Amino acid sequence: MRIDRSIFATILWQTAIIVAIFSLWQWAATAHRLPYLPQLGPIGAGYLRLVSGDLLSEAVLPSLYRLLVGFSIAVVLGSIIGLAIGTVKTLAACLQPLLEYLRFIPAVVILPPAIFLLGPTDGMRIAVIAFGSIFPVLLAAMDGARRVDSLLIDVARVHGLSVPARVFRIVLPAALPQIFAGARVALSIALVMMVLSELIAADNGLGFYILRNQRLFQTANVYAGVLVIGTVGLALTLSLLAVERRVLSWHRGWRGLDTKTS
Amino acid sequence: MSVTTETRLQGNMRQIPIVTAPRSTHRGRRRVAISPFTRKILLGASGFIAAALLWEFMRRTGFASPEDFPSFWQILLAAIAGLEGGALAQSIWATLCSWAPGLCLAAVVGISSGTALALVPRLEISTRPILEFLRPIPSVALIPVVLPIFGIGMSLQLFMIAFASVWPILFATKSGVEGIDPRYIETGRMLGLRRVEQIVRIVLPGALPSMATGLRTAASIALVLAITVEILTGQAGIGSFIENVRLNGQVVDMWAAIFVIGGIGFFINAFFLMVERIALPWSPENRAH
Repeated sequence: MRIDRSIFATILWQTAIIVAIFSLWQWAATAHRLPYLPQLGPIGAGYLRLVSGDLLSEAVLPSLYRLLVGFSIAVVLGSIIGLAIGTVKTLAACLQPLLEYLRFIPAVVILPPAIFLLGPTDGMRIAVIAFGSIFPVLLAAMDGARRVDSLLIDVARVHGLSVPARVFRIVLPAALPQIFAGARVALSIALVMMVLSELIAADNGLGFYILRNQRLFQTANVYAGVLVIGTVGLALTLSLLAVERRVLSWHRGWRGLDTKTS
Repeated sequence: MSVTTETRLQGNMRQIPIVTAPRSTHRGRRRVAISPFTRKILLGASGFIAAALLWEFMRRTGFASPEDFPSFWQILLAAIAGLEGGALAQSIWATLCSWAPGLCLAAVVGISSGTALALVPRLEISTRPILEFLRPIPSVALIPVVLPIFGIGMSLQLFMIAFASVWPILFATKSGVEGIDPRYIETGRMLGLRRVEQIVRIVLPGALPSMATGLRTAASIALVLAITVEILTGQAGIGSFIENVRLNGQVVDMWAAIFVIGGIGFFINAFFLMVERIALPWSPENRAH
């Protein structure tokens, strides 16, 4: 009985605060009529238009396409390079200082050279997204491959497994939890790079939509665009978690045996 | 089982000669003993040299036009010239001057609200939907929203830096405070510490290591945001330096600025690590070594 009551209280508190914020916003918007404080109705209408209306194919889908392609490239390439570096010790010693330096170059500054190297194309935007989000995956894969229990590798060697078999059957599964953790970080960076590349050089996509509406003083649409970006980020994070739960169902962290290994 | 241990031994044996290489016992060829430290430095340098060679290779083979890819040597010279009292040094200084206050703002807000959220469960529960909703919104997307409110200038940049870098600090602080062994607090209560004393003497020192980690993450995010705002709004700093130089076609200076930024990010991170090591000797990260 007590648990029921506490859950009820929780939901009550949460809704109360959300309602309070919404009504405060609406009151401020109607009372002051500031250009940067739109009312809730137009924001909701703009959101619905972006999610289900005519703007879906014009603004949301191009962004989503570039985001997914760039992110997939980053995950695949990052895992391959990271696993290679983590498995071969000499390679790690050679490349680690270089990587330690490269990962501190903010992905943002790669945009200006990318614009004049590749032009304002979809390829440029995908490349920028991939470049920005590759480092978390790469470093995580490297770390994961390095921390593989050496006993497992020795057992595999004793049993005569070839190098590819060792990588695919021992190193990759052992590094997968880390790779997924890296991919989650990479996803948020990919989202940032997507928006940024569209703010600077694009003719469609969510970033462009936001920027254009800001210039036209359609503030409600700007807020709606930001909300859609948040929704996209949330949806992708949740689906990544679902994939992770499926792929890593054998892992201790997901089986609930040990929460410390993540 | 015994077979496995033997293989492991062999695997270790292979590395031993590198560490304690015999000093020229062989008559014919002299083997120079390389200490692990020198070996590490040499191998690390070889990685950088390989990257430079790859860069040259891309230039020479016409993968991209040579004007877009200036030679490494030119970039290095431009970086040195720019750092010695050039425009590059000034813009770096301008960026750091907005980076530091923005990060401080984020640290104050993040640490205080993180501690409050961890200590007052009701507050945490009731604000959770809002925090979980605000966190995934990429801060860059907020720039068009905030731009009309603040206008182009320092306050916009400070707000964006603080908004983006507050999250890692807040959540690291929260998990750090939550991770404190409740027995410590109970012991403190038993010894007659008041609530404020409990927080100052038990909660904060216990949570400091994770706060420091959050702060280190936030420092690089803050740098990214500072540069992003500069690129988008033209506020003085390294971001607008890169944009201006690109628009003027000074490709060498642009690459120089990019490589210098990487160095700055690296040093900021190294600085925070050093401070953590000196100031927080009880941190589990430092005790592990």
